[in-house]
Amino acid sequence: MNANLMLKVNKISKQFPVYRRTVFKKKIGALNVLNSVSFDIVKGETLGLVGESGCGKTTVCRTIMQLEPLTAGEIFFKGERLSMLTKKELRQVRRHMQIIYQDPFGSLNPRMKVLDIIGEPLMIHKITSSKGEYKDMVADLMMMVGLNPLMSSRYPHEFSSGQRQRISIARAIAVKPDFLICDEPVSALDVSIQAQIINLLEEIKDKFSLTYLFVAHDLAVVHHVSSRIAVMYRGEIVEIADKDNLCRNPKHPYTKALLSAIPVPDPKERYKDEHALLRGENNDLLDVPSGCRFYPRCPFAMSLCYQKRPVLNKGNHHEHLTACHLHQES
Amino acid sequence: MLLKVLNLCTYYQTGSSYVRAVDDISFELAKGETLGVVGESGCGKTAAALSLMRLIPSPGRIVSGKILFEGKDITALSIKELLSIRGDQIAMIFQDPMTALNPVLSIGEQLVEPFMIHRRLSRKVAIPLCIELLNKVRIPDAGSRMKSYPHELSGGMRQRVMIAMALALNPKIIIADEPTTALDVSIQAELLELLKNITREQNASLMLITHNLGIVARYADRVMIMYAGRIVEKAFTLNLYQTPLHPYTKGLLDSVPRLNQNNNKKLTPIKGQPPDLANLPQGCAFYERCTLKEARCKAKAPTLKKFTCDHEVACWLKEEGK
Repeated sequence: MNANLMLKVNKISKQFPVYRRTVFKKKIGALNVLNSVSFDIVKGETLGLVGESGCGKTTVCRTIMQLEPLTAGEIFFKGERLSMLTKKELRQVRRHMQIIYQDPFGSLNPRMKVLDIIGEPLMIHKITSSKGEYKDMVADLMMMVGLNPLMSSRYPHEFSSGQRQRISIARAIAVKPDFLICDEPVSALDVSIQAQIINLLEEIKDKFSLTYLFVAHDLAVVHHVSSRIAVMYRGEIVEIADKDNLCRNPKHPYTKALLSAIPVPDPKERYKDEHALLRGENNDLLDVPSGCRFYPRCPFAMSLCYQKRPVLNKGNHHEHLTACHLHQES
Repeated sequence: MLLKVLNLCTYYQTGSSYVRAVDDISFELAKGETLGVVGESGCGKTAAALSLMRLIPSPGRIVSGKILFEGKDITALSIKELLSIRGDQIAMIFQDPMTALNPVLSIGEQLVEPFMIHRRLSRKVAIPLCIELLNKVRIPDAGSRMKSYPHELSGGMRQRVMIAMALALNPKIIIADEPTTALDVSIQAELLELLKNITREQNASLMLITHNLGIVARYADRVMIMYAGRIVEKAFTLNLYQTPLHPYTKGLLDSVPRLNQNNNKKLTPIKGQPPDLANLPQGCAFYERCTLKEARCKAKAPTLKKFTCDHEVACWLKEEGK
């Protein structure tokens, strides 16, 4: 296996059972949240993951962190197969991968002081045992993310959402991880604060030579921070490519539609082309079409798309891959 | 001029102090135009919109100023007169359709309400009108959807219902307060396109409140930028994006990542955080975060003044057409 490989996600699937609650709990179906998702992340790169809400972005993050068991497939982190690890070994591995959540309100314990929120990982991983050193380390971390260390005895509710996201970042980098999952880290923030946090994430990436999986629904933000981008639709990766390739030369109709739907902050672009390419919504997760999942909304759908599900064609790491019959030679 | 707001102040009283949610703003809305209102959360966008409908919840109240709608001052109307305007002439679309719709009434029940209250139509007559409305906002299978409850619909569908409800009585002004913030981009584009087409059809004016500079660039004719309860810049959309005058506007435009730009370069965010509205510093509210600040900015707050004939800005550095 390639020594440069940080994370290898190999054909993971995740099903959530659906029950009908009568007197007896009865399983009536399964929700295919992830369907054979594969990607690699090499050391030092940032892979962006975009898609609409409900497409399975967060589930990908949670399965990588082993917060959610997989239905099928394997995840390798630095060559280690995560599902084979014992609890003790898993704790060791988790020290090297951390996650930042979307909601800066829900992800911080309201009853803990900032000092302990940021310092807790230091205790858990036994990085320090002396009180003084502990306080110094937390103060250093707070400085690093642009917080005043004097605020360490305050509670989360005393901070704004941008500052709270800085606390989450400080906590994530406290154990000096190699790999950081950012699950929509900026989507709850205001524009001016969003730019601050993006810059901060880029700074600490350089400082600690981190590798990111950056999840967001805003393609412009993902394009800014990532080196490669994967586009997800209803539990599948439909396109994955180098960021400039993906944005300048999108192949999958869904990627094209996403790109055209983004409002560009320039009034001169207003009359350029048709903005709303997509019609309809992907509302019913249980009722999955048998062929291509994008078939009901696709403007280029053919009869083949209805019959046969396209798969992401195979290729090596830097190739532009897409799961669409329009772009597959067979 | 359809709507003219003059020196409107809306304050919330908290204990002994005031939160100046809307502080001395004046603007106009012409017939058929789309006015974009941009600002960060807590800058008073929503308070301004609610003031126009006199929907400010206690302990907030309109302290001073006038809101002239077709010559009538909304702030001075009796409740009865107000009710005849609210929902009929001026309608509002809220950000979160889940809380704005009544969860225990079906969509149909809620849609017939404006017709029954304002037009005194019977339910029987109103129902086909409602189905027609739902078709207009492209809700598939409108007839059976009338019996659905809000929780049975997706976020996009719910917002379509909200739009249908706002458009029911052909209002002259539609206030859309962050109508698509909770939705996915693809649905956002479709809904805004729909809103634009329908308002154009009915020749209604649209006040589009958002924090997304892209949406404003695409849909608004004129834009006003709000900061800490005040309007800091007001201009035609093209002018504002080509020559932003206020340092805050410039900062906002530099903060957004763009797809078309070569972005190995870093974003330039605005330093610091928005000020606390309960104890605003003396002088310009943007002083602490401004890169061009001078001594006089701290001494006295600048007011909105004309820079060119249709471009107004509240900044000491942009006085007298310099």
